[in-house]
Amino acid sequence: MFSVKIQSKSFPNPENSQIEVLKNLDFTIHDHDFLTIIGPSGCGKTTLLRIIAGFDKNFQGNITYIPSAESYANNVNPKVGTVPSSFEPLGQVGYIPQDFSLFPWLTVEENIRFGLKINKIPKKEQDLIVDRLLKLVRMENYRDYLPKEISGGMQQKIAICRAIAINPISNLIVMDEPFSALDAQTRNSLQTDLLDIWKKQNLTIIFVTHNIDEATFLSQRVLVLSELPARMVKMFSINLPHPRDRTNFEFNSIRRDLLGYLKIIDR
Amino acid sequence: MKKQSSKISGNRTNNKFNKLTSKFTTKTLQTVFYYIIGFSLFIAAWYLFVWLLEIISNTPQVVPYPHEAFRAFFLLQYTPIDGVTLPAHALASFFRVLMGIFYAWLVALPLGILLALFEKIDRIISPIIEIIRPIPPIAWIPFAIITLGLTTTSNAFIIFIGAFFPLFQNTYDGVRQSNKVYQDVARSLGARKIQVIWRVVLPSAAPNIYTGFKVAVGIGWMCVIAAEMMGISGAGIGYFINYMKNIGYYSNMVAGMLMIAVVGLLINGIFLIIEKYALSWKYNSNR
Repeated sequence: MFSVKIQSKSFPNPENSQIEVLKNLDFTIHDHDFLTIIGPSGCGKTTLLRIIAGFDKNFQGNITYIPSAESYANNVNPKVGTVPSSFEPLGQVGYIPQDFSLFPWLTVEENIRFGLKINKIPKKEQDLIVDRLLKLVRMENYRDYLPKEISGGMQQKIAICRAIAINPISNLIVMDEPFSALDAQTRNSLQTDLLDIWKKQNLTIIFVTHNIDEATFLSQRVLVLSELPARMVKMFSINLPHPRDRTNFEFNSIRRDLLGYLKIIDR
Repeated sequence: MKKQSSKISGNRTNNKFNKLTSKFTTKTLQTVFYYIIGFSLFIAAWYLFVWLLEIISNTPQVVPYPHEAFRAFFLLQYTPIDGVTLPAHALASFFRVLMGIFYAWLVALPLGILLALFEKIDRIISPIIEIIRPIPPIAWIPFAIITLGLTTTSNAFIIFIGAFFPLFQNTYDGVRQSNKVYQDVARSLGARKIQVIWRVVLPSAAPNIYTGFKVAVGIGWMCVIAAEMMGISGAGIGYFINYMKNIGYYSNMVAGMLMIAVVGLLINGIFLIIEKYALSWKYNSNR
């Protein structure tokens, strides 16, 4: 379980003052959660994501990892420490950017191996992990392809594999509008694939998107942020079972609720 | 010839072997065909030029005809003049180029990477480089002669000057342009700063560094010939061309120029092979 407490995050302004981007954020993410963060454009969603992923340590607050009772007992994550503690997300939290995700000079297989090599995983184990992940996304035949030789949707699938390969803490991966660069059809099929992987690998996902439809389709919980400085407007729970039907009444009423929170339509 | 399976079926055999054998596809044959046409036009123009010169001026013919030049070229491949054949001269020049480029690379690459990554170092060292940059390699020749003498070392020094700047600039630009997203992803996978530089920044800058080498070799090749013509050392293509001019063997002189062209083509060919094998992720659009 993760606890995210950010009292304030500011960026320096060209005119030498500070712009406050995030304010008074306080929420938790439990294991196997699917949390989507939505909010108006430019409100700081990416900033928040980068703090959670560990790229930005310059904020007031802290991110805490609280191991579940099982993993504590099994000592599953020895890198972290034993009691509620601050920890280093880099190398422990998967990150999938919107674009330029795969390293273009490496093949699909080499991309997945990248994190494993860095973490000095023995070769035989690497092979097993790569095989398993390629099978998971049904891309075993694409091992030796270069990223430019596969479609955008496939690239993102491999990016997910690469992030999962290093066995992140609580299987947490953080995704910054990963499907925004794809066409609508690919986007929909990838959303289904993502849910499939989420279930099979017991992932915990924090997802940023602009697309309300996507948020409604995918998430268990939605965090709505306000405009600058971003504050928590609402933590919304979606209890619909998967697979969700984009055309039915409940789905669309939830969608309307979310849109309402974003003040796009009057309530 | 290995048939390349279609992309859609997703079924592939050895990737790199396919890339090398693709040299023998019809596309290459087409390219060769166009080369031959272009080359023939050039030869025809050459004949025309010499013929016109003969008609216009009354002086004995100075510029050799293509067949005279080619005859000299082939003869000189194995017939030594003063104990040195044409290929031997070319090799001597090329060796100096390699030497100069080797030292240039040793200095330019680390400097380019360092300056591109650390702004403070950039601000101190860049002005020095900018001051030296406008001085062309040829202008350094007198300086080289008085300090290092008429030796291979002073020759290599001129080439060093010529090769340094493209190598440095391209490395610098390549590292600067390296996409931050790749670096972020690497960090998220647990890479430390050194690992990010070695495994992400450098590979993504590799195409730029490669271009730097290409340009550096081209400039180095020109520098060596200029340096030889200005008196540094007693062997080499530049020296040979000058010598032939001085004793009036103009066919041999032009043959020397042809030798330069042939070596240039060979160098290009080597670069193409490097491109196909190591940099196909950037350049080749077909598998």
